[in-house]
Amino acid sequence: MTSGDIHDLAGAYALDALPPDERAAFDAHLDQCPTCREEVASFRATAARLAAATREDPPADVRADVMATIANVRQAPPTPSRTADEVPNDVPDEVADEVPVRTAPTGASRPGTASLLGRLGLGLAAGLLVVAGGLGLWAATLDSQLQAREDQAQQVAAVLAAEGARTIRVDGTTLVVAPDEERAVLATSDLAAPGDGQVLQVWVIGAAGPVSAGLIEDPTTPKLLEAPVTPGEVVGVTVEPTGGSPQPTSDPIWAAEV
Amino acid sequence: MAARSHLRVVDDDPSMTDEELLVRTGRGDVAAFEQLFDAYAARVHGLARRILRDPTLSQDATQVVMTELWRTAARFDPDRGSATTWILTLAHRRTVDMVRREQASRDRVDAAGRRQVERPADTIAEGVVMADEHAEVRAALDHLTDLQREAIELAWFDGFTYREVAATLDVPLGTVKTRMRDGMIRLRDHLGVTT
Repeated sequence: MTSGDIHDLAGAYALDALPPDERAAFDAHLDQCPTCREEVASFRATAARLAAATREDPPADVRADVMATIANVRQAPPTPSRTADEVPNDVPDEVADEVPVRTAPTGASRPGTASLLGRLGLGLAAGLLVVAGGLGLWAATLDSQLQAREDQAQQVAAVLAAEGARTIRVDGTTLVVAPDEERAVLATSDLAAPGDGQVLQVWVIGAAGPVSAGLIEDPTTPKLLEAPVTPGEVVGVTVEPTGGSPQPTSDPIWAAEV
Repeated sequence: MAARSHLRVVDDDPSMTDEELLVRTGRGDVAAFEQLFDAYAARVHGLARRILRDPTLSQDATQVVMTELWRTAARFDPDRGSATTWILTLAHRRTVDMVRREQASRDRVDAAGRRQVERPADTIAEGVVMADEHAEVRAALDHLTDLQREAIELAWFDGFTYREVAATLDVPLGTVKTRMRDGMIRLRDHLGVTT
């Protein structure tokens, strides 16, 4: 992708219209492009005006529920770059009300999960996310300033922490499924890297056929599947032309039943 | 116009801007957060209703967004943008995250294709609209080309990725990207948005 192309993504980025992999790529671009940063800021302000025109009061009990909830929610500090150990309970909102230390219920033990969550506290935003133990070793550099990547990391962490999360390991590649939330995270670090002009694409294959679960731009980063999974379905990975395909165009190089 | 969103004051305390309330919220000020809640709940919930449609999911989204607002308020930097933009950016992203989790993208593209057929192209916000702000936004949207407007509306009000927008409108990916950007530039200029 040329730099001229990536500037064009500023509109889609500000509208939250990029899939997570491209959002992360554009985040990296923003670090280096003051022009795009300025443009994105103005687009966000513009999009907020669109939102301002759409109003509907929530039911009255929402306010009471939120006020009751925040009494138990620890606030994040201003700078997310300090060491994670200082704020070990800053877990994603999906699991904020629950104790973030759980044992693996089935299959291989997942010794990395509890310590992961501790570090994820603010480590989500802190820069370096390391998942060790039964899941293998992944490292993902997370930009502390940019919420987009934090969002994805929070969702990854939420899946890893979800009650009843199952670990499915095939040929060195690991799928962690949170059955109650239909979400799954795939760690593909052992898969062969695609060639030039190619990309790895994840599919959820159910009764209705394959549904794209997104592209794996960086095989060393855990991939949050962009489509829900259900027990009995199959998660597969294929090599596709850059940009991905609407339907698989080749046989899976990896697959596992959920 | 921009000044209104940047300098909106809260009825309870005319001396305090939303930016000040958000900064105070970040320091654990529950009263400031309550004022922000009252000022923004209708916009956050209205956006969720527009994107998710389902009343229960929309209520959940509003709770998630507002709780997240409390949790992350200390990261708001008034030098880098208005409170309105910060809060509604958070609301949109969280709501879009929910809609993308809820449904496989193909189902949504199919559904959107049906909606495109069923609904007049120029309806937005379906009856959950503040008249004056709607009129401004409507007028600004009228300055866009059909493709620019449809691409932006599908992304913002339906939570589509640009790939889903391309599939729904049956136009190339590159075209959608540039139309979104060109459309946002035009909208920004017609709304007089400054940052």
